[in-house]
Amino acid sequence: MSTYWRTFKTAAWLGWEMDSNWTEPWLFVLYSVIKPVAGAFILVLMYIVFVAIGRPQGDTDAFSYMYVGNSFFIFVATVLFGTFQVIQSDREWYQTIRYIYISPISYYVYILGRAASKIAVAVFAVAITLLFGAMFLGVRLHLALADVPMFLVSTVLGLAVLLAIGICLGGISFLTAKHTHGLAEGIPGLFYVFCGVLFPLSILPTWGQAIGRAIPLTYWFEITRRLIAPTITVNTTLAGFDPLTILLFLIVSSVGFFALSVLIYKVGEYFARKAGKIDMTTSY
Amino acid sequence: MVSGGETSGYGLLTARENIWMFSQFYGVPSKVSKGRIDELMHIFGLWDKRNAKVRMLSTGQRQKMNMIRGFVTDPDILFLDEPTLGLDVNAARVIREYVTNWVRGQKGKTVLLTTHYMAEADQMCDRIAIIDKGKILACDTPENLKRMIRTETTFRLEVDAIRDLTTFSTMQGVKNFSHKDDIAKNRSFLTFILEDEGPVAEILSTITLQGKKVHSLQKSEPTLEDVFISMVGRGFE
Repeated sequence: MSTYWRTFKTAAWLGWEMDSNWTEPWLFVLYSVIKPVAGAFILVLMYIVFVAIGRPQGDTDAFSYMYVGNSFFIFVATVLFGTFQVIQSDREWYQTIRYIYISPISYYVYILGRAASKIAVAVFAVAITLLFGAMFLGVRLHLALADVPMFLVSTVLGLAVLLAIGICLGGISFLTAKHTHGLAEGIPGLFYVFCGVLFPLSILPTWGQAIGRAIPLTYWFEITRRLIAPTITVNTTLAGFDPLTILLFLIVSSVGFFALSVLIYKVGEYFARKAGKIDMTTSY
Repeated sequence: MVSGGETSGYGLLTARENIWMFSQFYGVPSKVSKGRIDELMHIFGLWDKRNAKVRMLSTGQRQKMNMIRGFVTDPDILFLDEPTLGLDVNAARVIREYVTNWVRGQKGKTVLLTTHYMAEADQMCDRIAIIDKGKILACDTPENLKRMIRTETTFRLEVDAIRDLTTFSTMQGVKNFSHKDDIAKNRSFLTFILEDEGPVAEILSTITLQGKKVHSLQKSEPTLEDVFISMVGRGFE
């Protein structure tokens, strides 16, 4: 068995234990269902406020748009923060980083493994949220069988981008104190605004649209909506591109972001090693 | 590597799971690993706590778990950094005995131990390096290190708490000295490394001239701590 696979598998097991082992299995399952459903109600509340302010007659397309976007944003918040905080928690809280880091494994692969459990938790949450929306809130979802391969490819690419961004932040966190976890909360906030999660890019000013188009997640949300909710007719600035072209944008930007993540991670690790900060503990 | 005085370990995992996980990072086959863990848990007296979550373990139990983590991979070289720091007497004894037997009972095994406990170093180590401010001042067997200052004489005194120690450092024949205060008892404990017994009378008169009483005076065989004082010029801080 290769070292990479063994590392990934063990780290994923550890991540899963940490995510799920804090309570009884039945309570964990209940929590996993209730949490995303409760999140869906927040969306309903947001929609009601929007309607009250702007369109008293309502707009089912707009609701479906924001609902699908927010459902997939669960991946962003969970995976990004989950990846980022691996280094921080191992270093500051569990104080295990020195023992894991000096073991004969790739720490980069270890982080990916830990993040895998976050993906598993997020997949469940996204599925529950979408199901709840389709069953009780009138969100029109339809994934054609022919579109399944493209949906899977785009989902894998989207998750890969999230892992890449999470590892970028992780590389930075090698050098920063523990209170910088705000970074992993602030960055998703930017994505929330600029990547067409809640509202289409067309609402943003030109410079905002330019930022959105530079972030691969924008393409991920766009293609995902087109595939699983094809009836949404909300005007986005990407309407002129067919799904394959958008997938191409996603592939190119994903590769770019992954290369960037390796670079930033390596630079952060290099300077942390040089300064003896790999296993530092900080307080504030 | 195993460090003492740490809280390392994932609190949500059991002691057994924690150790097993680390063994996987070192490529120990799972079945072999589990067998070794069980054996080591019996040896270290942690068997009863094998399924206890790490967060429920006491400091001593956690340190034993960390020691098992170090040994479960059957390393050729093991770094132990203050492995008995903060442990009760019994737990420290178990760890010292196991480490000593492990390294002496097998060929090709090395333990690099860093410690402030000189008695521990004396008991466990074949060779000792005395390091001060990043420099190795001496590196030899415990016996040879002690022999280095055997030509010198070590005296230990227990006196009323004494403040003015400057006289001793300039006194002829005093190679080095250290002191510890026991504030509760209002006593000072002085250790002198002397070239010969000549300065003893002068030391005693210096103390009594300060109005302090000498409670005990003892000439002793040099210990590793004396070697350290002799070389570094002070006791442990």
